[in-house]
Amino acid sequence: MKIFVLKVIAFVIIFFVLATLLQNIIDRGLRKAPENKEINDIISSDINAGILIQGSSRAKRHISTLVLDSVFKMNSYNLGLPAYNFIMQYYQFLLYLKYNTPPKYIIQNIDPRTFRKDRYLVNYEQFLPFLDDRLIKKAVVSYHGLDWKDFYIPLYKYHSVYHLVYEGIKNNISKPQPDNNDHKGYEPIDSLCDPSFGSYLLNNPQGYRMEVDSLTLNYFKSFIDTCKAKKITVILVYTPEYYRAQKMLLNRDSIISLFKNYSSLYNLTLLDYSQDSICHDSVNFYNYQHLNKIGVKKFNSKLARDLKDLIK
Amino acid sequence: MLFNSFQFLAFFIIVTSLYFLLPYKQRWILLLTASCYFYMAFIPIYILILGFTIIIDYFAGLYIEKSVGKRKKTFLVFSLIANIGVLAIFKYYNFISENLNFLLHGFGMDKPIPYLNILLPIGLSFHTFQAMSYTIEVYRGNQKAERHFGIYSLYVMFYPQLVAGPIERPQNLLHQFREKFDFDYNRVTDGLRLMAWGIFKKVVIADRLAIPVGFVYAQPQSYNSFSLIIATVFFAFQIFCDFSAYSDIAIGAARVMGFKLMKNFDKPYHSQSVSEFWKRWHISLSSWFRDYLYISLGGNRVTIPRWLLNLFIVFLVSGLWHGANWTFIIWGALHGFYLVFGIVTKKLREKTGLDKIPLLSSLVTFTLVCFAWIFFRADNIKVAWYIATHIITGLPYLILQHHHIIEYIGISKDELILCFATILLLECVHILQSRVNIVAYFKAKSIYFRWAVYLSLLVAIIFFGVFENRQFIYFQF
Repeated sequence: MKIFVLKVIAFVIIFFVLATLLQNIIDRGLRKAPENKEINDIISSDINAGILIQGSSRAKRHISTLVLDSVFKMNSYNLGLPAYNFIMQYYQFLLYLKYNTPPKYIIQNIDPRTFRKDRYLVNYEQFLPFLDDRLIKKAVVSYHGLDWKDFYIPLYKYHSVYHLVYEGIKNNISKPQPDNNDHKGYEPIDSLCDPSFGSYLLNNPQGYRMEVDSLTLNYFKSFIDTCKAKKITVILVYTPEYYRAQKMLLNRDSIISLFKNYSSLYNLTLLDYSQDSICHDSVNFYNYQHLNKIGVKKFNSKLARDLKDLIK
Repeated sequence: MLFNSFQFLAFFIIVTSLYFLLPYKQRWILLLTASCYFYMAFIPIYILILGFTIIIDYFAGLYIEKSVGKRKKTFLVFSLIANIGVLAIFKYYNFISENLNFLLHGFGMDKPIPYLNILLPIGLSFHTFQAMSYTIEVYRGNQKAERHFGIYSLYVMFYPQLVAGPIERPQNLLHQFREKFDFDYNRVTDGLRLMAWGIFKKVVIADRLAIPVGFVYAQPQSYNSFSLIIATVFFAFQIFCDFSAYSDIAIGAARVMGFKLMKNFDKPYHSQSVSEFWKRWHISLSSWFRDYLYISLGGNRVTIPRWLLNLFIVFLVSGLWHGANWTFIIWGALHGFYLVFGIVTKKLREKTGLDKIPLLSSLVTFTLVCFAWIFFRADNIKVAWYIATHIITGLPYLILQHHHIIEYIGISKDELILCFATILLLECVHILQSRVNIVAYFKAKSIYFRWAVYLSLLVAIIFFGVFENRQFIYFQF
């Protein structure tokens, strides 16, 4: 029995050593992948931006680093996180501060989904190569999707995602193709209204409510406090949203007044483009929440003009 | 508590360690407690049903042994009624009510028979049949009645095979609970190897195949003949890997502690006839039906028409054993028909010489078995009928068309390739098993080779496994 127990222990140790080694190889390879560039840039301390853009997909698709760079002659970087509420955005901000010098300005994109309650990991694959970072781990466990096995059993986090395993190993052998459209996190979409646009409105004739989560609000308060302590100027921006979709959100007015309250309470500038003329023409959108390249061009020239008084 | 869960892994390590640490006379207490805990991890209250049948059968066994003649038979019948009664209430009552209500509706009565709002106790058919085999064997004089209530309870409740078999016989299992099993390195590693292979089959093959099968069978009208064929073949391997995996884990877990459970599967898809298939598939159930139903009906020692009828009845009942649904009854009837047809046409087939081509015989048998699986897998007769009538009809058109043959069936192209690769691997192992003693071959290899294989198996389970804690299909029976 003694020999058996010793062999089992030896087997478990060998498994953990080899599996951890293989996992590190895959992690390392995936960190080089273009789709993980933003987190990798943060961790590699490669950003050190003067203007940092934060928010959801609406930040990522709408706020152009190209325009900000050229207008303000300052390095800008877009950290928009598609499909996430403010909790994940906050952890990304802390991660940024951990590895980079604090920015002078943060353009924080806000919308009704910023403080929403649902906490499910979306596109969780983007975090997998970075789970050894304590902050990323803390961020990920705030959401539902991964459990203890993903953190403590080597390789388990890559189960059923063979393409990642293949890509991770491949990237160690050959250099991955660089992303030629890399605009420091800014990713505009070049298409017109998608077919679901009209059907979305038709399918939600009664409208919907967006619940504001008090826990997420606390994270927002911490964010403002940290920015104040680090002397970072925060500018809240509500980017354009298709006007017909705005009517669908039944408690939109209370959410907008919440933003206004925060703005006055913490003395933050709020630039609200939700009533702008851009919002009334569907040619500017590829879906009810997101501008396409036509809309983005119009919006960014307006944003740059308005920011001129705020960014110096 | 599923075998393919971390909860079970912890449970198994704790119970097995304690088992070897305890003095052997107290081990039955540990095993019985562990088995109760294992069963109660599903629906705790249903342990009372198990307790009820255990008490009935324990005393029935004692009285059957003590009695003679008519009185002896009365106790057996009493025990059988109690067991079948539990099955009838929990498994078949709503099915019977539904069908009677349907019939009575024709006479203008609207649902006169009420339905019971109850869940089927997990593995009910398995432990009921195991309990019944005890009283029948005591009645037949092949087994002495067990006087130790704890040991008898353990016979019914032994956790490795409690919820999905193998359905054991008292002659094979009861005496083992009194034997002293010391820690034996070779036996323990044999058991663990079997368990690892079972887990591989369950999480890597069965649960992966379950995804496209579920997709296609949920809406067969949306798929072409080729997809229906793929889904049905996948289901054939899914159910084999699922159920044989459970048996492997059960046999392996028992083996680690020293117990020897009966073999339940023996490469069934290599069978060259349906009758051979039933000697290789769910062996513990087929032999149960043979010993207790087929022989009781007269077996083959009757006129030929009666013999064929006996065979058909056995398979009809076997279908009903699997579930209270017409799909299972038709599945059983189809197998009964295959067997009867096989016997009737035996001479004719022998004349043509077609029987002598093993590959052709295996292919025909596999096709027949797959066709029957359609009824087993489908949620209802309507779905089964649609698949059965459309599985071939559109194929010539598809082949002539040359495009859109392969449709999206819920998995990516990579996953589809993986599904075929795992089936191929399984068949390679089976072919190898038919030629060499894999365990002996493996043991003869160096420790580096063996450990490399174990590590690869473990990594394959982690990478390619589906970890959604899918239940074993046979738990529902």
